[in-house]
Amino acid sequence: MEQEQKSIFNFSFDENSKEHIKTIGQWAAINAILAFVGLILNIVQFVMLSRGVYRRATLFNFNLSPQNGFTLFVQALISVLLNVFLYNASVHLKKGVEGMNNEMLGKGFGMLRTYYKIYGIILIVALVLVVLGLLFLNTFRRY
Amino acid sequence: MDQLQDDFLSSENELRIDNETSGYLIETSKWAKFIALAFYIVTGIVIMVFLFYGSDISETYTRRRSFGSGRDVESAFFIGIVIALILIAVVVAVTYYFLLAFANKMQAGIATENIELVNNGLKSLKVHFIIIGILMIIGILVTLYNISNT
Repeated sequence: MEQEQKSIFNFSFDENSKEHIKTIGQWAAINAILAFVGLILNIVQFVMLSRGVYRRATLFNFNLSPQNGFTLFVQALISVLLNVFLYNASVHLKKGVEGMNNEMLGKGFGMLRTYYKIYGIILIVALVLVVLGLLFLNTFRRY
Repeated sequence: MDQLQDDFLSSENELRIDNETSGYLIETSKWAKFIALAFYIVTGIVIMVFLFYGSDISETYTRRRSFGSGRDVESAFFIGIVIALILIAVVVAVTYYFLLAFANKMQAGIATENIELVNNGLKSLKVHFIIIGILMIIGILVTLYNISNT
């Protein structure tokens, strides 16, 4: 038991780990902010399209349809949900390392875990929907 | 006992990887591994589908989009799609290689209490986040180009 407890206390982040965690925190914050910026730009683009501002097709542009509106809504919902966790994780990780605060660092890793968990679950749902969609299309084609 | 007390006191001034943190890191690694593998499999399936049905897809798409008809337009479209697919495959392979490396190294590092492996895992996650950031900047620039080019 003593040996086990000692082992836990000896396993700590070193200076290299702290540097890596700090950079992870910085880039996680940058990525979360960029995701919000990207989302706002997509909404602006959609509004411009719906008001008929676009007169000609542009690079990688999409056709305006109710499906695009729904897709954008789902994209916004997922993006906000995911990136709030990513941003909070980055804040806690940075504070944890800079203030040498174990509790804060633990919370940061906890939020990073939640971020990847939500990401994974959304991926599973998306894959299931794609497979069901393909099966439906295949069945529909036959008739 | 004294040794244990000393360890406890010194551990107060350092960032420990306690049971809670290691639990979070292991769970993060499992999800990260799943995400990386899912991306690899999906990219593989998309490439396979294109290899089998590529010519049909490009023919239907060029006709629907009224890009014109004829073998030249179709083959140009086909080559464009192949280049785009190769680019996407390379980007996915590199980006998710680092996420997978993070997952593998972190799990091994936590299991063996090896800080070098944990550091390598963190380094891989750092590179993954940097690549994602750069890709997002490129995506934002493309969207800005679309908005400004009205």
